[in-house]
Amino acid sequence: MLEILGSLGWMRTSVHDRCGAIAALLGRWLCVGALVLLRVGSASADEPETPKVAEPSVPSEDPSGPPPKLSAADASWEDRSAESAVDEEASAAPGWSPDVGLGAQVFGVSGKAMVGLSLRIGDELFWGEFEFTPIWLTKSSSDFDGNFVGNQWAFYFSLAPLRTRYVEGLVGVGLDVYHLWGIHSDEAFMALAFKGGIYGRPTKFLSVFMTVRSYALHSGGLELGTTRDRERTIPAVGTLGVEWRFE
Amino acid sequence: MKRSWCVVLLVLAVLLPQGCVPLTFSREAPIDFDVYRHVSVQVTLHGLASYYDDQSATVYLAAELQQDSGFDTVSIGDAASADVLLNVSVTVTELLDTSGDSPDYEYPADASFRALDPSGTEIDSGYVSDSSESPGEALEDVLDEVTLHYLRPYRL
Repeated sequence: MLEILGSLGWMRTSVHDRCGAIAALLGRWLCVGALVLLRVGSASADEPETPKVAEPSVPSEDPSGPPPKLSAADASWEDRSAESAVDEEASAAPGWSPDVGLGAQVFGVSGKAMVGLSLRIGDELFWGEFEFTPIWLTKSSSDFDGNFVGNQWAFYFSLAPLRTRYVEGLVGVGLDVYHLWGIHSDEAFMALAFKGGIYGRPTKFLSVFMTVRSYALHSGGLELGTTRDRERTIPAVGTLGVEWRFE
Repeated sequence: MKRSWCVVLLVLAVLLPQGCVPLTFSREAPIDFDVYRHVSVQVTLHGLASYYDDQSATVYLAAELQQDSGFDTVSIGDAASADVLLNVSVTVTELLDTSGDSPDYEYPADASFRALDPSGTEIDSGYVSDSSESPGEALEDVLDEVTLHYLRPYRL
C-alpha cells in the first residue's frame, strides 16, 4: 500500500512541481495512520470489557470460632464521615473540563510547503482553534533568495453542529495571520476567514480531519487562489490532518 | 468499519494533490526601482533619541535600506549622484502611565518621509509610527517601518 501511494506521489511530482511530493508524503502518513488504526482497533477488540469487581468477604458464621474482639469506640468517626461527605460533594460538583485536540495538518497549496500544528479546545458545541504553520517555498523565485518565508497563525471560534460517535462537523470564523518574517521582521498579512471541517473519529481519541477555508476580507498582497502569473483559480484552500483528542 | 476508515484515508491521500490551490504573497513597489536605483538618505531627529543623533540614525536607516529595500545603492550625503533624495523626520515622545502599581513609560515614535527626484519634485511620501519601551528602540522600530515601505517588491 505504501508503494502504491509512493508511486502516485511520484506521478504527481512530475506534473505539479513539488506539491505532489508533499501530498505523497502526507499520503504515506495517512497510510501509516490507517495501519495504526487497524492495530488499535484489533487490540481493543481483543480485550474483553468485563470489569473486575472484588467479591465482598462474607463473615464466618462458625459458632465454634472465638468471639470477636471488641475495641474502644472511636469518637472522631462522625467528624471523619462528615469530611468525606464534603469531599465527595466537591468532587461531584459540575466543573468545566474541556476537551483538547492536538493535531498536525498539511495545507493543500501549490508552490509552498505548509505543514503545521493545530490545537482546539472546547466542549461539545463550542470550540476555540489555534494553528501554527511554518511556510517554505517549494517553487523558487527570483524575488527571494531563501526558501523559508515565515509562518501562519490562526485563531478561530467554531461551532460543531454535527456530532456523532464517528463524525464531527465544524464551522467557524477567525483570523489567519501570515507573518513573513523571513522577508522582513514587520511584514505580515491578515485575513478574516470562514472555515468548515469534517472530523472522522475511527477511535475515541484519534481523528482524521479535512478542512476548507476561504477569505472574506484580507490584506492587499495576500491572494488566495491566484498564481504568481495572476491566473485565478478557486479562492479556497483545504487542509488534511490527524488529531489526537485528550478528554 | 475498519476497512471503511482505511478506504477514507486512501481516498483523502489520493485526492490531496488534486486539491492544491495557489496562495500568493506579494508587495508592490511604491516607486519604480528600475528608474530610481540610487537613494541618498537624511534623517532628522526631534524629541527623545536616546544614544542616537541625526548622523547615527541616518547610518542605521541606510544600512536597513541597503539590506531590504529595492534600491540598488544607498548612500549618505551623496545627493549629487543620487536618483532619489529621501528625507525622514522622526519625533520620539514619552508617555507616562501611572494607573498601575508602578509607572510605565512608553515611547511613541512618528516618522514622516519624502522622496524627491534630483529636480526637487516629490515622487513619494508617507507617514509611519511605532512605539516601544525605550526611545532608542522606538526610533529603530519606526525607521524599520520606513524600510518596510521601500521593501524590495516580490511575488511569491
